[in-house]
Amino acid sequence: MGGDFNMSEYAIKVSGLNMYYNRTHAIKNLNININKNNIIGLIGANGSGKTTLFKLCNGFLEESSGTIEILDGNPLTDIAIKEQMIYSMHDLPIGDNEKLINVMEYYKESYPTFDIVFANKLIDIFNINKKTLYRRLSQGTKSSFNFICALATRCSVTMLDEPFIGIDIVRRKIAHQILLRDFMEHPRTIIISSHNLSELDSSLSEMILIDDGNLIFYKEMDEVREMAFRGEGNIHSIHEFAKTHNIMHINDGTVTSFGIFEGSPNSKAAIEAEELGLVISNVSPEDVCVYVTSHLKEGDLECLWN
Amino acid sequence: MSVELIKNIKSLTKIQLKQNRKMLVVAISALGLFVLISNLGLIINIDNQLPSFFENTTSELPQIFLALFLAIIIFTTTILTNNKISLYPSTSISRFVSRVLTDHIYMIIILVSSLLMYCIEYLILLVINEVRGDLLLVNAFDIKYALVGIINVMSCFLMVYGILILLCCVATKLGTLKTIILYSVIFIVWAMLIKGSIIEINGILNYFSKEEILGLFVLKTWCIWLISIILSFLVATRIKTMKEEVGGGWIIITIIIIFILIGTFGTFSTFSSSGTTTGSSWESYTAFGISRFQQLKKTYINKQTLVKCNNFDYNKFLKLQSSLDLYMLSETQALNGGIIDRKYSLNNEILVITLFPADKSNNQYIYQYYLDNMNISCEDSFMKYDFPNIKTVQNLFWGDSYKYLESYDLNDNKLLNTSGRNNNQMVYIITSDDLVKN
Repeated sequence: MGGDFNMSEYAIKVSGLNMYYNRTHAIKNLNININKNNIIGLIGANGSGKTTLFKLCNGFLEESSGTIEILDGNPLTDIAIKEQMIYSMHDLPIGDNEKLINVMEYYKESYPTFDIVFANKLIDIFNINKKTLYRRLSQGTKSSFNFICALATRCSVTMLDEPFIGIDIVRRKIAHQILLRDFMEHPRTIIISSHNLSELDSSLSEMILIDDGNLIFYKEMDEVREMAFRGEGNIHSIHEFAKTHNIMHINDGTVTSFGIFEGSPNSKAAIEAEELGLVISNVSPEDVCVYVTSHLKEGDLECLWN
Repeated sequence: MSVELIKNIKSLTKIQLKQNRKMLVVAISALGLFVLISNLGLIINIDNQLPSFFENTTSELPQIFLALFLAIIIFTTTILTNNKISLYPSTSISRFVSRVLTDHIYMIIILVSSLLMYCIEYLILLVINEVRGDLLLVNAFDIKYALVGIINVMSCFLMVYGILILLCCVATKLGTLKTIILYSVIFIVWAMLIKGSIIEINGILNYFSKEEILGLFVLKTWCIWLISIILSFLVATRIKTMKEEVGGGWIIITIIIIFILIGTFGTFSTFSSSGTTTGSSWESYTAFGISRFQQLKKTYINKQTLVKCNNFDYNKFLKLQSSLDLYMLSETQALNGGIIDRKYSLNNEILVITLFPADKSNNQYIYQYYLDNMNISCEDSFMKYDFPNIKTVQNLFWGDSYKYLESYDLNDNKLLNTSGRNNNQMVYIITSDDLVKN
């Protein structure tokens, strides 16, 4: 691995990227430079543009405008770069009648860095029969197998699109451990899109949040954890505090009320909130994403029962 | 082309060869099955009562080969969408080149398998002959015919493949809707040109199918292949991304449109061909169509057998064999028609001229066996005429590839009989003028 094209500090550089599906504007003028050698979460709601972004990076879709550079090169024309990147998702078009052992051979054939020994060990850990046909696998096993193959390629840029769909909790936890340990052994850029951020956030070092084709933020996980705090207590105190501070969400419950405010739980604002009688606590990155991107306001759901 | 790209092409080719190997097995099995059924059909279908002179085995094989092979290409993966290799590193160049390489390697494998089948078929024919005992195997195995056949089939394949892949590349580049519109327009213009007799479709087809020099046929077909592949490459390398598979709905719409166009085309071609068809059917010949006989003389007079018959009774003279066309001619008519030479005199004898197809296989007249074993006699005004009820079996495994070999002189397959009635097999009875009733 390696070469002149790896000189930049960025693994992926996206500039002015737009993507239209007929009249739907799926990616809206996206500009982002993704750092190398991190595990990065690509987070967003369904239809926010995560898969589209992955597909654009991997040449499955042609951008309407803008540029994408991976490892300082064009992934569509430079095969040396292509061999250093992989895109995997839960349901790959592997071919229904292929045995897993053959698919592993294909990976080995096409990826110079594919570690077949490592892949075989993982296959054993996940208790998958290599002689099974791909189409006979359950959704969870398919996901596991695709994850194993993608990880074993040891590509400089590894893109995993919802890699853990259908996998049971036990294997999911094992997968997270393996992912983290393998990253430590072989540092590289791993981008994971997932809906289940709570399981992932301990593994992630950075996070990209997109919503409706727009980049909301690209931050380190520590920054995300400092983005908001929760103030719980009297609703009047919450409203009082909200007059002078940016509030992301407010919940006026019958038992308890709380507000989500912008800022670190250790910030001066949090101390002020505490002085007003609110109980301060951290907001998990997953909740930050929810509060930042949720289009529902308090009471919007009430109409369902009234 | 960089070393990495060459390696990538090699890898993708290997992967695709492995991915589609089952289809290859199916195709070869289908060919084998066809050969087997074709040969078993010999045992089942030949009517023992009727003297059929020629039975072909697997003469449609080249067409079936081509159809099967093209089916593999179409069904294994949509060309250039490369869905099944989309997981692996590739560029538009490596995707195109590897796919074309894969298809050509398949072609070579199938051709080699076909050669093997040709050998196996020969053994099967020998076994069938042993079982039946009434077959005369002609051209059962000829390596020269096989080699020419392979080149012929391969050239046909290359030409069709080149055109097909060009169409696919353009379709992939344009997308389904634009492709349907473009191809529909091309089809309609084409049909209009044919209707207006600006393009003669038979002329185009004959330009290839009637070519009798193998070298020229190879040159023509390979040129088309080369040009198509170059154009396809230019188009394919401008398709930057991997494309999604075409949805089932679009496929159905495309098929419906194609059928409509074919219907339209069929109507046009019927209009354009009416009035230009020349009737050349052998059945139009009659005993008194004297002007035609000059043509017959050139091609089909093969043997004259003289039979003396003193008390010839025209009224008792009936068709000798149900499968033969029998014609009665007076000596004058025969002379005028050029059937017999002017120096020739019947001398109150009856001349029986037996016409067999002058087909040659490996420098041998196929009918020779029949002539050698034919008996003609006249007893009490009755003509007796018989020949051994042996079925000649020609092994036309490689279709009409024999046309490139000088040692073969076979007629068009359509004229070769498989049903008992054979327009090529005729008997002319020529008697003195006074014996012919006007």
